[in-house]
Amino acid sequence: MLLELDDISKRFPGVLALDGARFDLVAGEVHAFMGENGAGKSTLMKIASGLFPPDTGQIRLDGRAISFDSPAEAKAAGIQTVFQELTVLPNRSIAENLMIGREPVQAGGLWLDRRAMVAEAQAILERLGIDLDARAPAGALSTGQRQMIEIARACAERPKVLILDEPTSSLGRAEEERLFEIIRRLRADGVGIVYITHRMSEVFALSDRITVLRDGRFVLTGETSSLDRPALIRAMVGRDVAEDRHGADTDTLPVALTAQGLHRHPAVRGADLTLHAGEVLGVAGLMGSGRTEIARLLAGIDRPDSGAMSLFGKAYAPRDIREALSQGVAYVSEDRKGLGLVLQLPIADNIALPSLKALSRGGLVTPGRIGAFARDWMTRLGVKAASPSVAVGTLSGGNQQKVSLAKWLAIGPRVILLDEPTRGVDVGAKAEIYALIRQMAADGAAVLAISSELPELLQICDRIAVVAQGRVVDTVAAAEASEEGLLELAFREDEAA
Amino acid sequence: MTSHATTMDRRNLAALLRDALPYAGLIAVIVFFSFASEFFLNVRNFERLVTDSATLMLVACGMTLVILLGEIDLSVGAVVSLLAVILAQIMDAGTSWPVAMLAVLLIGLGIGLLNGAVTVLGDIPSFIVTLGMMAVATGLAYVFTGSISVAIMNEPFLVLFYDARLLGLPVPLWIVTLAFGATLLFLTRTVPGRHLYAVGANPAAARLSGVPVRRRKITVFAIMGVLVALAAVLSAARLGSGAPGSVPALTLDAIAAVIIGGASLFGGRASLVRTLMGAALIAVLNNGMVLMNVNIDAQYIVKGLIILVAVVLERLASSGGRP
Repeated sequence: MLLELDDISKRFPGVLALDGARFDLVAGEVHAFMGENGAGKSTLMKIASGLFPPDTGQIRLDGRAISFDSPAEAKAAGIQTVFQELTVLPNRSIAENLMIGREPVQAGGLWLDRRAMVAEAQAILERLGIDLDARAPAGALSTGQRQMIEIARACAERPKVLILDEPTSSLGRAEEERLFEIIRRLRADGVGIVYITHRMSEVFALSDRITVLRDGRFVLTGETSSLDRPALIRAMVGRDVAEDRHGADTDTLPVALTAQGLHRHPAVRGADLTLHAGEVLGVAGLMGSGRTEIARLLAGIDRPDSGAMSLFGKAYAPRDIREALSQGVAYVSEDRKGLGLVLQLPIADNIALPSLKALSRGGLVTPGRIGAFARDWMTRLGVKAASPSVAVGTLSGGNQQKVSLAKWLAIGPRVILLDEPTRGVDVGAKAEIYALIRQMAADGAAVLAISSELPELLQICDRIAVVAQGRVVDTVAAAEASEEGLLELAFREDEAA
Repeated sequence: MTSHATTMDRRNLAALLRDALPYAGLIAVIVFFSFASEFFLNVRNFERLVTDSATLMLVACGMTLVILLGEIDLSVGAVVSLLAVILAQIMDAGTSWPVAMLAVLLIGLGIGLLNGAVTVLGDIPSFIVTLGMMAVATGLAYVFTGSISVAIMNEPFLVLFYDARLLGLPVPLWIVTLAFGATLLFLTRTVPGRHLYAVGANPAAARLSGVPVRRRKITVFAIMGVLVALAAVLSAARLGSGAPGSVPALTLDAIAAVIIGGASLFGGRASLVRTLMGAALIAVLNNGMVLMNVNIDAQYIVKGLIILVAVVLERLASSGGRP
């Protein structure tokens, strides 16, 4: 056994991310690692690559128990990881990128041996069958080629274990094939490869074994040849979701927002959807399916390359987010800390930010008015904080999200686009936010909710649109939908593309 | 847990010191010079101090807005000199002072707009853009004058903007008060002004909230340009001339005033009132050190050290104990 992760548990504030998870890897295999978003795959692999230690459990490499205090130690032990984020330096040559941190030197370390560096880099590229000139600047490479440089860099260290975290999420079809060639070559060399992916087709095309994780727990490990798609989906979902469902008869509701054939390179490829006033339309899809990108087009943040939208029967083509806002379309970002809120500023300033103009009288707006306005919205949404002048960054995730919602509800939107409305929110606050979302629809707003959590969508939505490969592949009534059915749709289309 | 508590304590202490620095520092230097120099503590000296520092106050006012956005303007000193030169030359050519002053205000506005537009539309750090503007303005001032100072003979102008009094107070003090009041009103009570805090702290979130981020930034550089032009008028009247390099310490002093006022150089945090205190602290230092015959180079050392203390306190206060 090359690498064994045994009975690993890891708790983060408020979440038990891993609960007795396990995973094993033998030399010369491609081992696919699957699970729903948030199942704990990335956390487990971050532990294996030394980013943080487990709370409990054991890691064994070649049968010996080890523990890593840093990613450098894991690398030295022969475990290399390629994460989704690309770290290629565009202004340096491919060779410099490949050899960074271990450049060949002369004269006792003073002098960089440029010729040896290029030769060594070229040798690595050839070994992997990557047809690129090591002297070329990395900036000219495509995303797919950069991904290959990342993998080549990891392989330059001759790892025993190579962990790939969704390596194809940004690749086109042809590049994907070339990547598979490299992976097969590495497997033939005896490298053990952990392959995290959401794409069912890749799993069956590439892997020898499959492990499934659910809610931080181990579900199964099996030979790929002994498993099929329904079995995998059942393993990933694994639970029944009953609860009461909503099911507004959308045929009787007025159409609020429509989109036809929206394209925006590369993530959105012909999206159609219809959103009614008074309904909650869920958007399900795997990471990288294009769901956020579609919402950004609806919100006027990005402009489509082609396609048409309408808002309450009139053509709708916002030039920027300000124009969308003026027509009553609001977007609540999934990235609350980066894009949603200004953490250093008080709650009051955050809530009032998009409403300042409406709050002003004769061009002036007083702190008193802003405070009273914010206090009113804090009460309505149940934001728990000492006063409106507290900095938003000091609040809990749930309260931050309520401030985020308050900020947008306060402009009185006709259409509200919610991206991961309960990310980083604890269970109690989730229930409150669900109630708020239903209330928005009951008050007549058209609500679109994107979520990675299928049970959440089943619980709050009237209808659910499944997005894959940048398109809406089907829209189903929430009352008749199941997690298995939704996942099946998401995966099937992913494969067909 | 204990280490966390200590970190919080240390951060709170640093925040307290940072916020108290401009007030405590101002009181400290006033007390110090009162004892150290027999010429310091009297009404005549204070009036001189106020008129002498009017240029700094105006520029520091604008610099507060610029730094609040996470930007910087290094061209202010050079542009004040250039505008004073232009003012002196067009009055020398026989233009009346109101027309000359209007021309200079418009040129200042233009320079501010240019700084802002290049920074924002070119997506270039304002540090570099205004460094370039500094070099251009310095060069132009030398070219226009042939390196000699241009005397201002327009008596009404000199009297009005230096010696004259309104309701018993010097006119420069009135100008500073009005400009400061208008900037404060803009920043705290108007929609574009309140947007600046969000633009400085998190431009991406501000944009998604419908704030026209680029327009706001250009506006602030434009305001800075007008305040710099006003500063040039007062500076020219005080010196009685326009000359290249006439205000060598102005840029440093203005940035120092804002930093002593506890602003973050990363944007999102700045206070006009505390900047005013910071500028007063610098003004008293300048005045007191001259009275005590401290040599000009040593003055730079003292001011430089104060800036470093203020910057370290701000970092400590906002980063949890580690600078």
